Amino acid sequence: MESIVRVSGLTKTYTRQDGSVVQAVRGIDLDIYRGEVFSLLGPNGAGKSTTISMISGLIPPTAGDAEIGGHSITREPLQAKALIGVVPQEVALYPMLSARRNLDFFGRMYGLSGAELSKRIDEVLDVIDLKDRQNDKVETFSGGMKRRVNIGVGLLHRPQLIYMDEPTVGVDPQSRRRILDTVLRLRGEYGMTVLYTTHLMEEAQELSDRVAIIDNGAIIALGTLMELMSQAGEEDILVLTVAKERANDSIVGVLQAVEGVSRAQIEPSDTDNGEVKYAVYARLGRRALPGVLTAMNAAGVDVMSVNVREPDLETLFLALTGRALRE
Amino acid sequence: MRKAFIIAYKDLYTTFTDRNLILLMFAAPLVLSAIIGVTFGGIAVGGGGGALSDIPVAIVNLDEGVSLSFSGQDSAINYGALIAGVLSGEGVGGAVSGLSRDTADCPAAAAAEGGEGTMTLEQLLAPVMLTSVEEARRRVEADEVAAAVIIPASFSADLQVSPVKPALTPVSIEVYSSPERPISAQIIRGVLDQIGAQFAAGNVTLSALIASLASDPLRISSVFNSSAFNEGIGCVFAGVSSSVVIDRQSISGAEVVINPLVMIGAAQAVFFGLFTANGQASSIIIERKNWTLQRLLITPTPAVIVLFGKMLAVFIVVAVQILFLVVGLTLLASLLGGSPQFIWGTNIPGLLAVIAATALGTAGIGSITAAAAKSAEQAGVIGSIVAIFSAVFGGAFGFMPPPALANLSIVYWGADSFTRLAAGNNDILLNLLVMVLYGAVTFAIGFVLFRSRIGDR
Repeated sequence: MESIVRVSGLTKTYTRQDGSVVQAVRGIDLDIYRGEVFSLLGPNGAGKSTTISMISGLIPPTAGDAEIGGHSITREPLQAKALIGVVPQEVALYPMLSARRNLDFFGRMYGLSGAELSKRIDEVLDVIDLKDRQNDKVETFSGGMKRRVNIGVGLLHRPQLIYMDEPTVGVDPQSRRRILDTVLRLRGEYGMTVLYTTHLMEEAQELSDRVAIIDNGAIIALGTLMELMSQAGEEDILVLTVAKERANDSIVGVLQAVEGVSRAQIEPSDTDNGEVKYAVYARLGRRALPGVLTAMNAAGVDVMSVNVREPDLETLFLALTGRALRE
Repeated sequence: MRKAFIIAYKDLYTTFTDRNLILLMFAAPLVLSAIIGVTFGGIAVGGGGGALSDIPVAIVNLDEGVSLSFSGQDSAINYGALIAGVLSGEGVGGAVSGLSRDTADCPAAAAAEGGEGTMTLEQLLAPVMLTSVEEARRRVEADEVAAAVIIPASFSADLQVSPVKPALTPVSIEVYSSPERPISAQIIRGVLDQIGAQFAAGNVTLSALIASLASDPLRISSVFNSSAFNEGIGCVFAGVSSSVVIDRQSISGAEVVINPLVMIGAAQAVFFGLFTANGQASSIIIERKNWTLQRLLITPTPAVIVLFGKMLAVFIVVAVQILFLVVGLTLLASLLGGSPQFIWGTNIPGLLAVIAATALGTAGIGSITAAAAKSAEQAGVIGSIVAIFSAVFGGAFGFMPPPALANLSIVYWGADSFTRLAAGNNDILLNLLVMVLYGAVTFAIGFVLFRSRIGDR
């Protein structure tokens, strides 16, 4: 597969005012293939935005380099930037200007002009579905509409690669759905390569061909969804909630004796809310569930609720770092 | 470079479509200048002269005089006493002996005398005759007088021309003026310039005559003894007392009319220009906060071009603001005067150059104050402090600090340029150079500061 982005040894180090050194990004190596949606998944502060900022030429790396379409972002920044469309996390628009004027201004900054620019603006307004509001000032738009114009600016010059930095932050579910559909359309209809950063596992799972999980400035897992899921383990987890006065040490033994269950344990809890949770590991959790409930009933223990956790990126992140993605 | 113009156009469009901003930027300085100008301007030049009369001045005449001898006819002259007499309004009696000519008989002098709307030096000045230079200086420093006129001991001797000394020796009268009263000091200097010109004219005439007669020594005696010569040469010197007539709105005989709206508006234009420049330059900080600056830097546009475009907009907005104030005050003056009046002088290219140079200087300062700040709010505070200090140092609040401080202020250089042009004085090259240099240096520093903040690529 042909790489459109090739990142090698990308490092960013900051020195704080007190003299201490912070390593925001620690020597990342990465290849992003033409035409794929590549997600950079990680909790807030993991280094996603810093990585994107370096790849887009906004901040210079302390070490390493990134090539966009064969152009080094440090040595040939203007050529590299011409291939990139960026949708920043912030709504980077001029609120006093209309949607059309915003698009017109940024289009000109990418060297477009005249009839070609006008045509591109019409196309983009169509994609972001804001043709009817094109002459309204952006300051009068809802959060979701602003986000769509924000995306539109990044698409205007038909970039080969578009970076989207958490584009769904702070938007309502309906707008979020529209944005995700737009991303899928960019890949499907326009064949664009999308580099997508998010801290939402569901988005990464829905959109991505490949995912890199980043934590503390380093990539801790990288691959297709299937590859990452297999790293997360193949067992489902059934979480049973039982009233504290009915809980006892023999329950773990009862659960482990059920067919299809590999092991069971009490989930540690910091709070005393009158409940105890038992984690039951089974290859096919939903299939093992009737047997588990029958065994608990036979042991005279009432189960208050059951939660089925299937393996996902969240579980993988938890397994790799010991922390939840949203922490 | 085209992209820099696109950025500047976007900023200008944003600025000039913001009604609140326009009101603040254009209407506020105009209204304020008009109110101050009309209120205090009326006191300054209206009603019988007001501040332009009774200017306290100390005169110290150290001149020892000189003897004149024209073909056996002896006379003595003390030009210093003559000047002191003119300034004090006591006349030239005793300053010249041997030359008998009544001032009223001189046609030029008679024409210059009197007339509606004019005032004499006697009305204009309130002189104090002193014998001690130190005392005169002390009174200036204590702000008891606006200036001290010190005439040196060799004044007459240096000015004398005769068959044995046919050329003038350069000589100067010291005017020790108070920085607290720049206008009064300027008027006194103007009066002395006029007197000096009169002396030069008289002596050059004499010098030329002596030079032409030198080839025929036998004619010298007959010429000097002729009544025509005595009448003519006497008129040249005696004219001093009557030709220095102060028009109510002018200094000396020149056609100088400085409208009070200029005096106030010039300083206010620069003062408000500083605020506007700061606010406009702060848009860089705001763009960085809103991430539009970063978005611009992600486009294939060098950071240098982005900053140049932003600063070009700062310069244009300030220039338009000052131009608007100039036009607005002109219209106001015309309205108040009942007829069209162009109060800023007749040198339109000079005026445009001053507007451009002032805009450059103020925009440069604005860019530094904005670049030094971490937030738009902080830039506002720093910008206000700088603007107020510049205005105080520049004499915008009615008093003039020592020249060393005034020279540091863009307000001084800008306001001085406008007032000079309004007074018909086109000697503004130094002012333009200082302001352009000021602008170039401050813009460069602001540019470097901004670039280091956003990171150059």
